[in-house]
Amino acid sequence: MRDLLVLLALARGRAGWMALGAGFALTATATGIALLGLAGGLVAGAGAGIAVGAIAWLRALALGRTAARYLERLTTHEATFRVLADLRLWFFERAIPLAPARLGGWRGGDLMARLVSDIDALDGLYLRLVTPTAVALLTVVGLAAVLGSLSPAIAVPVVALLALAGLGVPALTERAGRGVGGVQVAAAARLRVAAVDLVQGMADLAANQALDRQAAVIAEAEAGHEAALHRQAAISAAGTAATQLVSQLALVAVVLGWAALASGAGGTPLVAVAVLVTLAAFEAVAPLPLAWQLLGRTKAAARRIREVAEAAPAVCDPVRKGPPPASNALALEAVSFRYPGAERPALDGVDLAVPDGGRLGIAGPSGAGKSTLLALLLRFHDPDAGRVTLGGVDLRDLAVADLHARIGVLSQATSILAGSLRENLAIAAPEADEATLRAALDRAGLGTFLAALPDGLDTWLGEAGVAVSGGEARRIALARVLLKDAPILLLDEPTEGLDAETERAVLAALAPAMQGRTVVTISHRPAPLAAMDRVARLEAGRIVEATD
Amino acid sequence: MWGGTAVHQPAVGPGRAAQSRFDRVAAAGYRSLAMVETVTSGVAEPDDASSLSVQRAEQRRRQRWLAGRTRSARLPLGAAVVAGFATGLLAVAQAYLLAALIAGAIGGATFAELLPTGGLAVLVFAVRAGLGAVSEMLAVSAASRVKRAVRADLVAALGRLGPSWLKARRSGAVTATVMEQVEAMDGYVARYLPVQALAGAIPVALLVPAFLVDAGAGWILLAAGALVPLAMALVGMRTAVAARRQMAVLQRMSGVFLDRLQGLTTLKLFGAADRELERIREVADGYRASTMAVLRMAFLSSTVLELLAVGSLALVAGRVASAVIGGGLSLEWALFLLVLVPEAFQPLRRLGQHYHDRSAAIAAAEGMLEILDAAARLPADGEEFRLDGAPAIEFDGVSLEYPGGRRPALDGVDLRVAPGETVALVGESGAGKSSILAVLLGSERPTAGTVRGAGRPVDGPVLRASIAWAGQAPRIVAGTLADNLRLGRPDASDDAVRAAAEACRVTDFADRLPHGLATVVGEGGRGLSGGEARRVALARALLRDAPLVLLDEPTANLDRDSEAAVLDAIDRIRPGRTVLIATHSDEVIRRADRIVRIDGGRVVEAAEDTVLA
Repeated sequence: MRDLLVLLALARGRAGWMALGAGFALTATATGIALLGLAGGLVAGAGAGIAVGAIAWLRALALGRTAARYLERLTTHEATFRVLADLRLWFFERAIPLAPARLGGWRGGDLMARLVSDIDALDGLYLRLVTPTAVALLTVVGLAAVLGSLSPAIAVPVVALLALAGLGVPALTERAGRGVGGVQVAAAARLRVAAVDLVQGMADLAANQALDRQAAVIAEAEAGHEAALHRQAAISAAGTAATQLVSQLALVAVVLGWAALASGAGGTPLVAVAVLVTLAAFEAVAPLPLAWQLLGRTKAAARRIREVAEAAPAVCDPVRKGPPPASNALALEAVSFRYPGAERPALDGVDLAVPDGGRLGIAGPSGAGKSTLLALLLRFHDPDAGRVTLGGVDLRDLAVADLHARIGVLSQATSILAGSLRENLAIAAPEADEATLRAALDRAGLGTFLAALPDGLDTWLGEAGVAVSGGEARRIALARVLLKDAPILLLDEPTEGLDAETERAVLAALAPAMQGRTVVTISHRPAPLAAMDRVARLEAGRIVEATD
Repeated sequence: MWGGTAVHQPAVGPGRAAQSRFDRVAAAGYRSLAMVETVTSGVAEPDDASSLSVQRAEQRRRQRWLAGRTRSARLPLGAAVVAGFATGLLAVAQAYLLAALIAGAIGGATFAELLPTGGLAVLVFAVRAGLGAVSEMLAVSAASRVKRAVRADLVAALGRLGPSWLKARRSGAVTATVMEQVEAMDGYVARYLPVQALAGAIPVALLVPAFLVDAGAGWILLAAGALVPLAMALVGMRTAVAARRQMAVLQRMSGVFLDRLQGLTTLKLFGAADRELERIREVADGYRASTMAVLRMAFLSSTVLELLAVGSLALVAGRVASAVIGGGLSLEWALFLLVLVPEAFQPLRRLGQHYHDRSAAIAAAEGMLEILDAAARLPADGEEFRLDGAPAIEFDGVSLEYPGGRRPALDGVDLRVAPGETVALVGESGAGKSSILAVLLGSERPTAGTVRGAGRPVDGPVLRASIAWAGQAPRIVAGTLADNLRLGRPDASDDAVRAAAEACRVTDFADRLPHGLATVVGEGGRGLSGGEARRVALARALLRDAPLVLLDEPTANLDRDSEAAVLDAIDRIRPGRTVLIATHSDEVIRRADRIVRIDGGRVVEAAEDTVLA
């Protein structure tokens, strides 16, 4: 619960909108109750020969109810939009210092996807959890007051039955469904693994004629998943039926209770009002089972989001900044680093140095520690032992942003953002004018690419836009690096995944950019390392040889 | 939901929220904090008449397909509708019993006098609630049947399309089609279809008792009912244009928040993360405003329904009150009508609540149809055949071009490999080595020229039964290590598996694991390094025991010890088999019978003898 409250506290600034939304929701429910109650009174009064002058009131209530519903929709959505924008911005802000070490690493897309789906799960927090619960509580309290004024002895069982329908039954349903929920999540995960194996392992499965067997694996996983869904559906259907039945029992309770209390003393048209008012109040109780179901899911999502958002960053800016580095020489001095939970250190006593303007290549098989070395140079992590320096200054004495300002990174992990080409370049040089952007694209070998784009620099790239090939993405990343014009270049597998022709072109475009800069290139391919002054070979976290 | 990224995993299961469709639009909306100005400027105007009609035709085709797919579940679906209709009719009994109870109590009946009617009412409530649950479960079964059939078809279609089709697509999106988009049919079949069938039937059926009791009340309900579709259409048409435009915006922006989060490291390295935060804040506001503008109109349709429902209640109340005073109607029947009116509008409200399930299914149909259509367009495969011994391989003027590709992957390749020969294909990355292997596998079809295996034409995946293949990035499927080795020969004995594992040095790392070859690996199990996975792939190929062996860079990324071990394993595979190895390794080249050099999709040098041996 604490997790939800913390997130709700974020919405304090939107309390006005939220209160307005809840107010309209309550008005809509209350006018609905009044309308049916009054209609009952009118008809029952007519039966007793009492002419109730209620027609004008009925019309007013009908119009009021319709207007309140419409306004409720508008205000609750307005409030939800605002709260969610706040939530997303809050999370994004929290995530900035955490990236990438605490967010699953640079290439950790899965964690991100889960986090976003967790944030999505909070969509319902206000619209389907907080508002309906508040409205239901206030409605039942109001109903108790109305019924109590008619007949206190009837109010008690009716409120008790409505509470059972709105809270008791959903709580029982939730408890019954908890075990199946776990089974369903596990079954869904199995099905997903089987589907991912099919899609990503297609080449191996096809060549080994194992497609039919994989189809059988998927069908089996699906059968398990469907069985779990079926049991969940059964529990939920039983819950719905029970809620419906219990709330309808309240209607019978009103009538029979009234008759029992009157004990033959004669009837009153007020019975009709009491029953119809109760009937109309169901509307407020009906969304509660759903709110209950959401509560569990929302709580879990809120907990995971808080866990991430409140994690300590892997690296912190120094309390007091040291002097700015005098040069752009980089050095690792006896650096060791082990990822949390890993068996072996990723780097084990590494000594390396690049003078200002020097070029160092780092070769080695995958898993040797090359990427970790890069992560330490960018201060995504701090070493466990030893130190990393820039111009003789320990990176821990530099603000992370100041360090990054000096380094241009070209990597296969570089993201192309969903947005226009201009926006993609602007992250490197927000102030750059059109001509500068075009020149950078030209130098990166994207002149013809740009010419072929339907809207030039304003063409939308990425998801739902113009698809960018691997080679083009790398060149866009290259254009960014050129625009950034930083004194240090870190090239992380700069040509991985490119064909030979593109590799040559990217390296040729890089060559002039390397002039006068400190360059560190990490690659297991020979071509990018050819232009380095010195190549160190890394194996199992240690430097095994260094050749000039 | 609107064809965007697979970011938001729809809640699987029946606990999904009953939301109005526009709640869903809104939900999809604020998922996507992004650049309204840029977006709207970039979006093609949907007012363009021809593109609109194409869109509509496509929409209709998806609807037809969806309808066709649900036919297999006609029986449970029909039963669900019948049960749902019965609960609708029971509303009449329920309304009557309730009215009788109220009228009785007003008339001064005692507790004992009312008890039988009360008991009957409780019975009807219980039967009605039970029937509702039964109807729900029948519909869920129907949905389950449809989903399983569609998923099986998708899996089969993907298998036919094979790796070359997948290569051009994001595997995440394809997986999402098989998972989430199939799941989107659940709401459509289990909720929307029964509700759609009942939305017209129940209100019409309830008109009959209304007319029988009081014609005036009947006419009020009939008029309101007739106004529903009319008013919906009027509001709907105005909304549709705006909604369609907003939908195009949504499509672009869906997932942008995830995109920015995933690009956070890149943004941070450029010091652009804080700037981006400011921009997201600005455009989130702009986006909220534009979505609210659409919602203001969209919410009108449910408001009209609300107005008709409460309006007819007010009118019926006034009408029956005067009828009671006039003596033309008993109190009991007047109350009956009052209770019946909300019931008559209930199915229409539920239709509104579940309408988004339909839109979601139609949107999801796009991805599913793309896969099924692509598979249906594939040319028929040639006849499969099995080779009896090491085959001769002949390539005559074989070219391979990708649609939209800049240059052909293969450009008139002539190649002859003698039975039992081991040939090293060398050349730079991208020269066409892997394409030659892919053509033999049948996962790529040459755009020109002919390929023969043992003298018979290779046309599609006809040779697969005779091929052992190990690719550059082998997939370790979920299961044990032994399962993975058996991928190409599920009936291999434990001894054979062990022998292959030893020959390819899989045991080097497997024996260090707690369960050896029985260790669970792949997704959800222990991950294997690139080098370990390569050794597993080679062991698979060895165990498969096929006369034609295709190895793609078998020693890349291996340290020297492992490379030597793997080469020994390859030497063990070679006797009695034709072997093609795409490689950069000097050692592999040294051991091959012959070298063929590929450059730019052409054979540039085919030495008859081993150059270095």
